[in-house]
Amino acid sequence: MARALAFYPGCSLESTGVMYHASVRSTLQALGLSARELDDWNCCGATSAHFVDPELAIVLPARNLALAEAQGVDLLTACAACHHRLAVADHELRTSEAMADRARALGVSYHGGVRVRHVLSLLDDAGLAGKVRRPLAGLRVACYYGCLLVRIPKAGGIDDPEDPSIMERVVRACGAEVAPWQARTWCCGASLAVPEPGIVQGLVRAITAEARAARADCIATVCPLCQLNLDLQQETAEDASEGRPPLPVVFITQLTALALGADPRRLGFERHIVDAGRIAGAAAVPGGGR
Amino acid sequence: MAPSEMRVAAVTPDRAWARAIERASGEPISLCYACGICSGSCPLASMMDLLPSRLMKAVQLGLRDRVGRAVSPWLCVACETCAVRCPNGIDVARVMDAVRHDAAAKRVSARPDVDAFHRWFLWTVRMFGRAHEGLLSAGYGLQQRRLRRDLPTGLVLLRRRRLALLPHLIRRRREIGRVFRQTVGRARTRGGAGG
Repeated sequence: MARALAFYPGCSLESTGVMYHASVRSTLQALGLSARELDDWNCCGATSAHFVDPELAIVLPARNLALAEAQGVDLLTACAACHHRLAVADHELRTSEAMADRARALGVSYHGGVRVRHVLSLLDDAGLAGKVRRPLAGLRVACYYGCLLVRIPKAGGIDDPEDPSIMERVVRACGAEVAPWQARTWCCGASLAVPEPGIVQGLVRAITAEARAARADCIATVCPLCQLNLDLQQETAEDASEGRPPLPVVFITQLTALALGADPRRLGFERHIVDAGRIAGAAAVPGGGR
Repeated sequence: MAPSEMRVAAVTPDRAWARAIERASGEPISLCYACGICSGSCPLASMMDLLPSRLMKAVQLGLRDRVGRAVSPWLCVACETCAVRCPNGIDVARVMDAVRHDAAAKRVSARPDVDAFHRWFLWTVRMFGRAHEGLLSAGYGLQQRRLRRDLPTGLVLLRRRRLALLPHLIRRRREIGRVFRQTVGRARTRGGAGG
């Protein structure tokens, strides 16, 4: 447990999910935790590698596990897809001698000595409630888990696949209110957004309608692709005649960073497509209360 | 299936193929008793031509051609809802993977456009070691002649500074190249699997 953590941001956190990256950094800093970036990390293959080739799907993420093992660190993830692929590769190489041999033949040697931790479970263990400086009082949050973080069939997800509660605990620790709703683990359609935007609009419409019915002020996500789909497809998906404003879609770490007192201007709220400015302003002034 | 569609067709079950899919997927396909939980849970079921549980049955029966032309495996996004709910512990998404890999090896795809998207994604990973969303969208949009349709989204993301212009290159790209060469091979990253 005393092993240092190295952060594995993943490709999306360098582009469409930059706000996730910034807010993970701010959150860790506010908690006094450090995690340097894993040196020379590569793409985990996301959904595309297993779509095309079963060995590529294991060996691409496994290279990062091997790097971490050689550097003597455990891995900290934020992106749900990265976490999923790293966990699957770790499980596969621990349990299949044949796959471990194959990976070695491809230049990737991993012996199962790395723990893959998601930032959400780190936050759950961090004693957040005692460190909050600006409670997010009055903010009603719909916690959206999506698929890949809780459903990792063989290796095991970070929480119960049907009824997870970890994100709700983190949101409550921030002083915010949890909106009970039923679309928490529904699928947003992932990368079908590019070849089949119509399908993804339909799925997003169903999810946001549930969040709205639960009177949420925003949806909190743990996956850059979920965030992008919900943020991007919402304007077009919502029935214009209803005349209701779209729901802001934030990363869970934007909320924790806010609550821990980080400067809202450094959390990327201006990069949201659905205006998230009112979420940035939701944190009460230190000591002021609301 | 509507009664009018039910007719007796001469189908030769390919049992060797069924066993090969079971082996490749690593899943106990023969345990499936068609309860239909996977189909009822699948977020893409309404878009599929062969529901997940029926695809499982078709694999059991060795209906290679029927499974080979199914759109379902190309629409599956591996959300894994089927896998966590299957009473027999079968990860149906992995069966979808195996069926798709089998078809692609024969250069057949029921949805070459979806296939092309994933191959363009992997092409950027192969080049740089990390995915690059800008080049992925440009390459895919040009090849599929849908750049005009996709461009507004790209511009929205650019305006919000959510697209990196330059790719992030890793140092030891050679290691990534080796993995790609010895798995998917030389000719099979960019573009589609045919179809």
